[in-house]
Amino acid sequence: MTKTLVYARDLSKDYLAGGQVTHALAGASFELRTGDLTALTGPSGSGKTTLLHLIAGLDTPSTGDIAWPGIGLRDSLRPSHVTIAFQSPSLIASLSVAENVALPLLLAGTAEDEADAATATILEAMDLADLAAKLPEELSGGQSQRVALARALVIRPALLLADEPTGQQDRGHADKLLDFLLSFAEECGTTILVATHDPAVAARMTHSWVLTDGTLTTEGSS
Amino acid sequence: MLALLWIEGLLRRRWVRVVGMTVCVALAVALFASLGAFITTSNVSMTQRAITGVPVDWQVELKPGTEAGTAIKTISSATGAKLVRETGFAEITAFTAKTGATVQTTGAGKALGLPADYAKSFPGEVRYLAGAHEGVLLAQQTAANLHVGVGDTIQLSSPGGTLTSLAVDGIIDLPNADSLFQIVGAPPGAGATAPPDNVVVLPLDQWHALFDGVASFRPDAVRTQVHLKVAQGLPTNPSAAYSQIVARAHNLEAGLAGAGTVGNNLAATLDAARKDAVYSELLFLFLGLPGVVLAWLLAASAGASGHERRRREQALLRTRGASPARIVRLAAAEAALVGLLGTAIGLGAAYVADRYVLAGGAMATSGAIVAWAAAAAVLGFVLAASSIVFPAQRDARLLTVRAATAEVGSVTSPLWQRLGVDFVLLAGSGLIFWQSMKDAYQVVLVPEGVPSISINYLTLLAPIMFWIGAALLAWRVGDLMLGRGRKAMSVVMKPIAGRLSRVVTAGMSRQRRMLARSLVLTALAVSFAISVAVFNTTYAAQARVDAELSNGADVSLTSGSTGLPPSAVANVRGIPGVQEAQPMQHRLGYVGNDLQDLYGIDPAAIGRATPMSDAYFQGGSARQILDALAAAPDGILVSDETVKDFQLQPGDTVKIRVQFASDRAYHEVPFRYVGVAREFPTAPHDSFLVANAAYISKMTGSPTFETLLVKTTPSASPAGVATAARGLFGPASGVKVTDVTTELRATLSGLTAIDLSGLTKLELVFAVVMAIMASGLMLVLGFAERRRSFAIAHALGATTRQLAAFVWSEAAFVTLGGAVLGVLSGWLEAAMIVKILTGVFDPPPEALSVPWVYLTGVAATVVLSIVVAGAVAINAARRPALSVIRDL
Repeated sequence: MTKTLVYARDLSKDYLAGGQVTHALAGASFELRTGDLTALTGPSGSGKTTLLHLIAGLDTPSTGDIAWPGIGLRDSLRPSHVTIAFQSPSLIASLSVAENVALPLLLAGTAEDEADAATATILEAMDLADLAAKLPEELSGGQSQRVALARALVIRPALLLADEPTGQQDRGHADKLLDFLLSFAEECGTTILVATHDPAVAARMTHSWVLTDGTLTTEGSS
Repeated sequence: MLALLWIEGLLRRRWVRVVGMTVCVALAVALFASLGAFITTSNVSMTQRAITGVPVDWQVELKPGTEAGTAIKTISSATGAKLVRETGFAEITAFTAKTGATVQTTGAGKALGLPADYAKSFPGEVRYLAGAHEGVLLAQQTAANLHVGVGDTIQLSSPGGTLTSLAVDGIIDLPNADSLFQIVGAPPGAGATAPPDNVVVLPLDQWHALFDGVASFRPDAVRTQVHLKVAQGLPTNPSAAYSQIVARAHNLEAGLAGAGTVGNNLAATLDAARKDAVYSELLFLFLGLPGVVLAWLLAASAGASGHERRRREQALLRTRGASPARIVRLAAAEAALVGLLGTAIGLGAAYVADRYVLAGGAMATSGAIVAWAAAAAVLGFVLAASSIVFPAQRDARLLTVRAATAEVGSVTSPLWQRLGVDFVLLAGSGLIFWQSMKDAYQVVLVPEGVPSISINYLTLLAPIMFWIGAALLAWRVGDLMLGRGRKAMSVVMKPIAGRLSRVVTAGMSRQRRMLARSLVLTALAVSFAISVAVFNTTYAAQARVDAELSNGADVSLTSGSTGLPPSAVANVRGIPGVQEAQPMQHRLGYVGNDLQDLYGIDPAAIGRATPMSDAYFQGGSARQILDALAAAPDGILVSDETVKDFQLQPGDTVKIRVQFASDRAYHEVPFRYVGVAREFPTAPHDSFLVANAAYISKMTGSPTFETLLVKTTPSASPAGVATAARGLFGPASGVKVTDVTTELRATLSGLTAIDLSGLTKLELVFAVVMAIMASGLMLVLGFAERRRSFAIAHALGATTRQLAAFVWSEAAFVTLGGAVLGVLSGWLEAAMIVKILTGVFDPPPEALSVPWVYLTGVAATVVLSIVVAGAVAINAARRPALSVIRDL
């Protein structure tokens, strides 16, 4: 039995930039249910990142409503229930790979030993164990992106929001990453919303959303 | 065009860094220019005070037989002096007066012939006490010796036996008798000569009529001097003025071709002033330059806080095709903006400080300050360039684009750390300091009468090496704490960071270069504040001691050789506000050929009227030395110089010739050497003697005391008590009453002490501003540069409390570490500077004085600035700008 994790109606987001109003999102309505694997596609600048930020509770809508009935209130979304892997590598420069990955657990109040064990497990599972002691500046773009994804998954969130998670990976790594992501989702019951330009990624999702100039079109199982 | 766009972008998006650097540059410029104003003002005022404090600049003594009129013409044309007056000095073998049934006869004295306008021409040389201002004027002491007043008749015995009767028209005082009756042409360093006890001043014509005849058979008994003022157009610097006035005197002597010798009173005064001038420059070096260097470091650090971002911006520019030269030009534009704004603000602040804090007005009046202002402006631009252009140039030359995108720099130890330069500097400093202090040492040596000034530059290295060594050691300690001591730090940080302490400490460890820099700057700022404040407070405390030493006590009463009336003690004790009054004898005595001041005291009671500091004595505490004197009735305390000159051992007999009341002649009196006195209330700085008053009274037959030292109650005003004491004695009594408050004002604005009050205020304000900059601003800039990291933590779900853990951990490390190291180094630095600049203090301080109120204020300001910086950072991290989130 699935339940609604996120629900939104007529969601709009406007930005004021250089004296001009930009409509990043216009009247989007959607529902994300537990276990959904959704691909969010659309051309650059169509509002994909804005939508992910609104769902993650990092931003507030200009108009419309958004709720997280399957999770709780906005303040309780992060770090335990909703995690986000950003488009650009977003590791904290002064922390090692292991420390970056362990951070959400520590922020959630997990004991250090448990956090260390969970970090080691996810790094091992994602073939990143060799990089544990390295600093972000020592990683390639693809490695950084995978570490960022590991950090988003380590806490076993209810909802993972991933912004172009394979954008800096070669085909082989992208496929492996996607395999891992899907098996992780199945094992942990994590709902995934992936913003992507990669048709191969979109093809492996169960749902597809398309954003065009801020207008969202949602479809069922792909 | 691109430069303008770049600057516009900086002002829009990096304004915190631009403002921070501008403020740092402004601080350095303002402090440098203000110190320049201080030195200029000090030099000008020292020279002016020296000039105005001398009643007669030159006393040109003519060779017997030289025609005075011709000599005056030569002197006038050679010096250009308008104020040139002839004077005459004649020996008198005895003064006699008959009052009532008694006849009083004195010893030898002088008859002085002065032109009618002499007192007006040379103010300060003659003080009228009673009767007419012209005619036969008798010195107050002589009048007292002869028991005569205005209208009485006295008789002068001239060499050759001629007796001349004169009616006294007025009573006068000669306040500068020492220089007036000097032996012109005495070699430098020759012992002082006592001025004559008995003096009569006659109109010059009358003097010629009486003594021209004496010159024919006793040319040695009659002298003619030409007195003149020559101080016009002297340089403002005391050393330069001294050199010039000495050279001009030599020039005149050459022009007179042996017919005259110059007694150079002005040079003698400037000789002392130039030592003060050197000390004022050393104070600039010790108390000012560290502040300028600190401001420089702050500016460089503010620039460095944007280093990582700038490297990334450079990488972006280079990937877009900008050449390294263009990147450097953009940095130069930024430096020009910061330099221009910082210099303008700094010079403006210096002008305000000069007018309202230093109160010197040097900037408005002195041409010399233009050079300082220009140097300060150059400093501003150099500082901006060194903080912005040079790093940009280095990065553009050395870094690859890949390296430039790196966010955390290398944390390998710098070369100095591997070589242990900090330890070498500290050890070197200690060694130099110890070596200098173990011998009798003076950092500035100004030999009397010699134009050259000797400065012990090696000793000056000690505090400079200590300052740099301490800063580097602070860096090493900070680096060590966050490097090898990371685990321990993690435990220490638990109370602040909780479960995040390990991650927080790990992050701090990787940024330990930046944090160590902030810690060092905070330590230096705290150290600067402490060393300046402790030195200044110690200086002020010693100025008070000096004033008390010069004045003798809160209030002191002095008279000539006639002494104060025996009833004076009881009468003065009766004045409201007087706590204690103690009599003290002040006689003169010959030790060999050396005339010294001899003070007769009651060792057990003197301390009740005036503080007896341990610094006054050598070889024991004040109590021990005074007890030793009290235990030996014939005991005497002498100067260290006398001990060396006469190879004295404790218990040795010292024969001193003192004046007996019976015949007013000097006779030998045996004293027993019991100790060394370095300073004593009212005593001169060179040689003097302190003995038991009872013994002096017994041996000389005179129990008279010449000085009365008065201690006032804490609530009473010394000036008020002094006024009341003056009321007890008439103006003709010759009793002089002075108080410590007036003396302190004179000392602080006088030549023997450099006026530090303005500099003190200025430096204390700068120290507080720099403490704020070093602690608060550096943290704000550091946090601003890491707003992306904070935004990531926020996006991961960090609560405000958790974000605060990052902020307060860093703040605590920088503040507490900086404070501890700063207090330690500041205290040691202050102690070292006080010891090295002992010559500024008179007497040397027994201990450092701590301005607790000011230091508490500094501590509170630092804590407040840290709290504000932390709160700003937490607030920004809690709600990161949307643009930062969207960049993730």
